[in-house]
Amino acid sequence: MAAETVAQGPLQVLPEKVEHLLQTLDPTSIFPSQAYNEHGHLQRILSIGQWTISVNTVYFILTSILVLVLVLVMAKKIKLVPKGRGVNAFEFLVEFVRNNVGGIIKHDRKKYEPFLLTCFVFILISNLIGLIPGAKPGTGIIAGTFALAIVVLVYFNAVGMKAKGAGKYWLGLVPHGVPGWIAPIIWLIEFISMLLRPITLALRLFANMYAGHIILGIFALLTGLFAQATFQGLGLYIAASPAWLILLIGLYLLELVVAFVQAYVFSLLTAVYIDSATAAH
Amino acid sequence: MKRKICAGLIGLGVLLTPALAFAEEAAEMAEEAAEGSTGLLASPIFPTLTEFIPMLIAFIVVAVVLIKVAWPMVIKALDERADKIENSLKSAEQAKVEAEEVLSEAQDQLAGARQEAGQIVESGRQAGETTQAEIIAKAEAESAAIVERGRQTIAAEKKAALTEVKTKAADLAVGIASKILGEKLSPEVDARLIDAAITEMGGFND
Repeated sequence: MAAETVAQGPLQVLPEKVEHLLQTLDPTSIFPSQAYNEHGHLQRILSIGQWTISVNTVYFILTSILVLVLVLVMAKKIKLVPKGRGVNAFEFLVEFVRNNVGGIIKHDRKKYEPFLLTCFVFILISNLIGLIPGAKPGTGIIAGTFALAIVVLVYFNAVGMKAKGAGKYWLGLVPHGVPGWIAPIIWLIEFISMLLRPITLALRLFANMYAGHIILGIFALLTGLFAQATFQGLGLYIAASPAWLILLIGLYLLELVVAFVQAYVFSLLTAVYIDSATAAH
Repeated sequence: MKRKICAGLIGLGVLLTPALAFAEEAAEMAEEAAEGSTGLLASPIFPTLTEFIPMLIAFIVVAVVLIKVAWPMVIKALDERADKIENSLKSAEQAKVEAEEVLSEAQDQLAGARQEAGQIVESGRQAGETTQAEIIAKAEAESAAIVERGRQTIAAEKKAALTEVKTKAADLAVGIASKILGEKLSPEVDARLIDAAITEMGGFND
């Protein structure tokens, strides 16, 4: 069987392997062999009676604990005179978010900085954890990104109502100067577009993380398949495997950037929503 | 205003319909998930509630704790540092200006003191020179006077000595003559007298 597949060449074997890869990337699996049970049903790693959760959820909760501990420890460590590389890196991130993300908000920006920082640090750490080989990001599952996005939705509506008063805030969805008879329609459109915001937030983050992992998986597969072919005497592929490896490393670095950029984009859009909710029209 | 409120109510009514549909769908998905079937992949866009709810709770806990406890500490520390640095820079700038003022003042004083010192040295030098000249002139005059006095004394002494020599010579001559005249008894006596006179004159010459 193995000899046969090698005889076919790595590229012929690839589609089958990719299908297997996608199964292992399914959020419900922890090890590839456990992805499906004998009935072809997805398995979940934790099951308490009727309640079952996936491995990504476990990572999401681990990330929560890690973020809590990390930020609390860093908060204790920050002194008047900066000391230590870890604390410096943390302070750099905090200042980055305060200046580049929080800076968008025009009114009372200091009030909303803690929430933006929470979003940014949580997503960044979750994304980075997902890049550890074998680990999965809590943000690589749609339920996880929805959990974040729903909190954002509730938050920006809540601060909007607090800033302007509930009635004024909800009616303020309609811009000034709209004629009376068309106002209900505009209001409805604005309301729906507001409800779509968390969906776009959730999908963007999820899709980026998920796609990134598929790409890394495929390049890892290609590296492995070509290396195997080389060892089994198909000298033709001897140069190709290192090339795939170099591409894999390049893409890994790219994914590191994506992990940062997605955390930035998510918190930036959150800041935009908070700004539009609290700014006087 | 009333119109807007009406619009809001109508909008809410219209909106409730899809919201209800969504809730139904979510409930269905939760059921499917609970059965452990392929519910997760059935709807790729909407989350499974059994996954969603634990994560939502976890994130809310993280957010609340961090927003209430950790971030205020971090932000306070960073803002305090920024203020401190700003104040330090300001006071450093002020101190620099003050120091420059003090420096220029000190430099002025130093220049004044130097000039004054120069003047003092100059006047001292002049005074010294004057005094020196005076002393030299005085010394010269004095020495001239001393020499003059000495010369006069010598001249007077010389004159006195000569006078005395003349007097003594006359006395001697008178004495010798009287002796020669009184004791012209023997040649021996004459010779003795002459010797004595000569000895006496020689002693005088000494």
